[in-house]
Amino acid sequence: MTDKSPLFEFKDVHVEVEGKEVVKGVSLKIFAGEIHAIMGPNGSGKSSLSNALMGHPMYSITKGEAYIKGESILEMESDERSRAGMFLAFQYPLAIPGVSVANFLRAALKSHRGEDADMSDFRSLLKKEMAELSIDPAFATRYLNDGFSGGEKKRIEILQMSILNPSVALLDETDSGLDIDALKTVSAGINRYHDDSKGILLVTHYQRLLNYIKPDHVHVMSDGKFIKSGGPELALKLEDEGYDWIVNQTTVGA
Amino acid sequence: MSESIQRQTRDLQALNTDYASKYGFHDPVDYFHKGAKGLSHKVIEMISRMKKEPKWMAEKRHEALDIFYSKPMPTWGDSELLNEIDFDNIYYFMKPIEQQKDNWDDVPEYIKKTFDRLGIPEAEKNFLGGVSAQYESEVVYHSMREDLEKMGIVFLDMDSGLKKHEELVHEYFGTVIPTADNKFAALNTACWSGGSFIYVPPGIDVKVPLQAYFRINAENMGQFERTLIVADKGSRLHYIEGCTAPVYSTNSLHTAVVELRAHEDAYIRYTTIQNWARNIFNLVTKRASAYKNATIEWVDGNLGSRLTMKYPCVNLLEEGAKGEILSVAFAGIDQHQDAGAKMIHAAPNTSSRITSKSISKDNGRASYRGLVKVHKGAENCKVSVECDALLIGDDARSDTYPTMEVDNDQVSVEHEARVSKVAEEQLFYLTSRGLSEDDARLLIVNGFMEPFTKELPLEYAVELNRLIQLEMEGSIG
Amino acid sequence: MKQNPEFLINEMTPHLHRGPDWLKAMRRSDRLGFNEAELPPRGIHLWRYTDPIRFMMDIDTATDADFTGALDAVVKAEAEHVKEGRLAALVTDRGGRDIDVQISPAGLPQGVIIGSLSDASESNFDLVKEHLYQMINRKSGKFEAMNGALWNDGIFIYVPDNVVIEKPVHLFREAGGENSATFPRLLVIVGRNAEVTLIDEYGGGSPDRNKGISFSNGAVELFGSEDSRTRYVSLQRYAPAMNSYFTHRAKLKQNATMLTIPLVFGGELCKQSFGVELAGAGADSKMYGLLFGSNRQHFDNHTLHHHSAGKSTSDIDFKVVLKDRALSAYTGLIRIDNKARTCEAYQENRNLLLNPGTRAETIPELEILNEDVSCSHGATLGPIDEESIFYLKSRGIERNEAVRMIVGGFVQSTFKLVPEDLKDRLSDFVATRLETI
Repeated sequence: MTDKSPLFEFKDVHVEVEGKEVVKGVSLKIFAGEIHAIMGPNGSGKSSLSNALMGHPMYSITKGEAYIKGESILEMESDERSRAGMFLAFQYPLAIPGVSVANFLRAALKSHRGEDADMSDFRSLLKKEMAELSIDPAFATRYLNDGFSGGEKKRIEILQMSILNPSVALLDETDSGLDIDALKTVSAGINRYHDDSKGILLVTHYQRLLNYIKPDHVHVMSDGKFIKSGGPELALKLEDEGYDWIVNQTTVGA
Repeated sequence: MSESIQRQTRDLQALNTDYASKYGFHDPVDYFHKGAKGLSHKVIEMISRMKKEPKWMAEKRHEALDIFYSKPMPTWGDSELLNEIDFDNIYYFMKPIEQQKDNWDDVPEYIKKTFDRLGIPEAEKNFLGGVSAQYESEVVYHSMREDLEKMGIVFLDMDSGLKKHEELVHEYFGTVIPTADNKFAALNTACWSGGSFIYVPPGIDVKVPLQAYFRINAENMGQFERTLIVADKGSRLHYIEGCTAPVYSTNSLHTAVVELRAHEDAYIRYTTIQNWARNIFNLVTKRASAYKNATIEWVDGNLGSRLTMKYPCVNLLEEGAKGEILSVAFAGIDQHQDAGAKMIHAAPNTSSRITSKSISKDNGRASYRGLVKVHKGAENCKVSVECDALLIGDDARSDTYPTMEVDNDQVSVEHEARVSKVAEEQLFYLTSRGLSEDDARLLIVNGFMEPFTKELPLEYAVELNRLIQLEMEGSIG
Repeated sequence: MKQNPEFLINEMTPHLHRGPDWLKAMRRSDRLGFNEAELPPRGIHLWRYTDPIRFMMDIDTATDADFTGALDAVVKAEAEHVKEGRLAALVTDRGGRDIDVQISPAGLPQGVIIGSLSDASESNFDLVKEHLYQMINRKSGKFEAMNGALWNDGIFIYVPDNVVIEKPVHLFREAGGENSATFPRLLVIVGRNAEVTLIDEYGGGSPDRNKGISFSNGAVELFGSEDSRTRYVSLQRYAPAMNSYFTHRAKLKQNATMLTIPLVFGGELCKQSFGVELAGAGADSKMYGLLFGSNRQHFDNHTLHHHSAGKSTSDIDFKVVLKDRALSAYTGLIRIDNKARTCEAYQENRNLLLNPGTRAETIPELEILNEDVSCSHGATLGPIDEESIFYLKSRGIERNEAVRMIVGGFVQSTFKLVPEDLKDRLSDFVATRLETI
């Protein structure tokens, strides 16, 4: 159809957690500039999929293929996936006591660039990005996620994304735990990051994030499979009518 | 960071490629005096004679040797390893040069080179108020900034201290740690040589740290430095001690005694970064007495050695005294770090805090051994103890042996200990941001150590992080 | 009865000649173990707070147990409970001489054995021989060997595979009065997927130091087979002039669980050790202990959780309340072997000191020999909070009552971990002791 190759692609991916199959064969192509949203009820396998794609040791991909810019990622360690241009904003970011936000970001940036960032450049970059996300500059010296509120953790995730500037961002329930103001700030951060060269995969339970970030494609996931795909209007319908109709429809149809 | 610190960081990093090349080298030396191996009253007599010391000190030494002979080896700690020490196969006194120098250019080239490689003269130039450098048994270089000297601060090696301030030394020597305190304190008292003697007059704030560096160069050497620090009323001091030795196939012994006295309202911080070679037995007695409203802080970093047994202690003797002990230990292959802390509350309204962090890697064993004692009548004391252990590798071992004895009810004591490993989830989080697994692990370990490193002067923090990086490199279990 | 640091067990002591030949051989071996062992050195922490000489009783000068009768009323009440079916059985053990068993009208499930250990050593020869002395013997220590040589008769409990005894079994061990020495012994074997609850109560002893003290040295061995569920309460309510030494050891196989509840209330001097080895994957041991000390009582308690198998879990919560001149030393060790991976072990010891003059020592120790564990411990020592007392007083409650309320709250966090049915049985005992605080 098109000679453009996808930025990020996975085919027939199956994921197992503790011996149980939770994702049962899903495929997707994300082209540069596209925003995709995966929606689905709790326990449908959305988070498992994003964790597995990033290489979480608890989630194994037992079958299928996945590529970033045509390069297979399945054999890569998660740091290699990161350096290849992938980013996962965690649903529950972990605390790393004793490691400050600034030191951590500098170390991460160094691993991406292969060399230490100039100290003053780094500082001004950090300062600017923190300001954009309305993060108090004092957070730079606080320990990563240690004692942060849910909303603070989510902003720090987006801060990391803006600084590492990945090609593909997987955002796992980034809207959960945010009040309306925080949701606006975080969405603005995501929109600022997004341009023609980037791909985004939003994983979300609710439609409310999609009021601020307009997806090009929406996929509904249930019991480990994509059961329906469509445009942004699909998300609205889900918001109005819940997931039942679509789950039932496919069950009947199946 | 200032330019000089950046440069220094670079230099330190460049130097620190591994222990063998940075610290593990040894110099072929013609000693001014090198006695025979083994310990006897004759050897003690010879040490005394060479030092031309007063009679009371000579008597103290002989008495101490008898106490050393009469006391059994400790049966606790790592008695198996302790019994590997062959006291007859150790040199108890080696004098590298005849006269101590106060200018690096006058120090023999091979010794100067050693300390250059360790970065001492450079550090002195940049941020220290005074430096003492001990090589084997004696201090070979000593100097202090003139302005500090003018303030009446005494910073000498212990031998010179005894000569120039005999009365002060006589008054305080062995008062915090009596000769018979333990077998190794007795050994040190019998054959001590070198170490530092510091006296800070009332009200004087020594704003720059003073440093001593202890270097063992010879094989089968026993280093027995003796340090006495007296901070008079309302004075403040930060003292830093560093230690290294070359790598030999047979063991050397480091048995120091360090006594601190902080008088009313005085403050002493004593920072140690020891990075001994893996064949050193490091058996050190460190104790401080804190008087009214005085503060003592031991900041104690233990890397290297075959076996370290060291439990810095604070006697809180008068009201309002404060003690803090912050220690880290890293036990790598075949190493046992048996380190800990003691807080003796002998007066009301005293407070103390112990923070111990240990990392055991491969088959290394790190033990925390602590004692908190609150005497009768020492009311309204506050004590908190926190022990964190990080285990890396399937055969790593961590022990916690805290003892808390409280003789009255108006006291609040808290003790917490945790043992953990580097969590998979944390590793994944960091590697998902592009860090390699080794870098991620190192970052977590550095984060674990951060409460300690943040207490160090920047240069030492950088150095310590580098040392940990070296320890972390290579095999990970 | 005198203390005698040089005391040796005489070959002619009648206890040594009780039972079948294999048992006599074990007794003789433990006799030698006792006679040959040095007194434990004081430097070692387990003996740091208690002088072992205080347990070196010259048994030859002891008088025969003379029961005070003070406990008859309690025994009678418990016997009623048996009749009403609230207890499955009541076993009274008077000084190791008579073992008497009363069983509820409903009877015991088939195959269950509750009775005299001496009898069982003959009638259930194989079972007893295979287990008795396995965990507590001359290798455990001098005083463990003393019990091993000198116990007269004890209690044997066997619950066959898949058998559940629903109501608790109350073991009532009465020590003699002044100048008596007793050596209680208990062996419990809980079969696969079997379940039992034991309340092991120790009472009696000399009420008055001036008349002479009494001495007790007990040993309890419990074996939990695969998937078994055991609840064991050790209720120590000795009279004020009792010196007691007590050793408890349990071993749990795969998926076996054990709840141990030490309630430490009585005696003048009481040194006890509770130890559980987690020897199978999925084994779980919990110990929830309460200690009340007053007057000049001296307590020295040790707990041990030894994880010798992976995927096992343990938890200890030991609470101490002291007043007057009472002393409590607590040493707890968690040991996790190198091959025991992914274990979880927690330990907490909290001490509440009600007045100056009390003394508490706590040594919570960890020996962790592999990285794949989750382990923590905590200890606190502190006075009762005057602010809280003030608050209660300001509402019209008098001080002693306020103190009791606060102490009650302090122990509540441990006591609430006890299962409901047991809590009902035990709360009276706890409340009775609390009254005296």
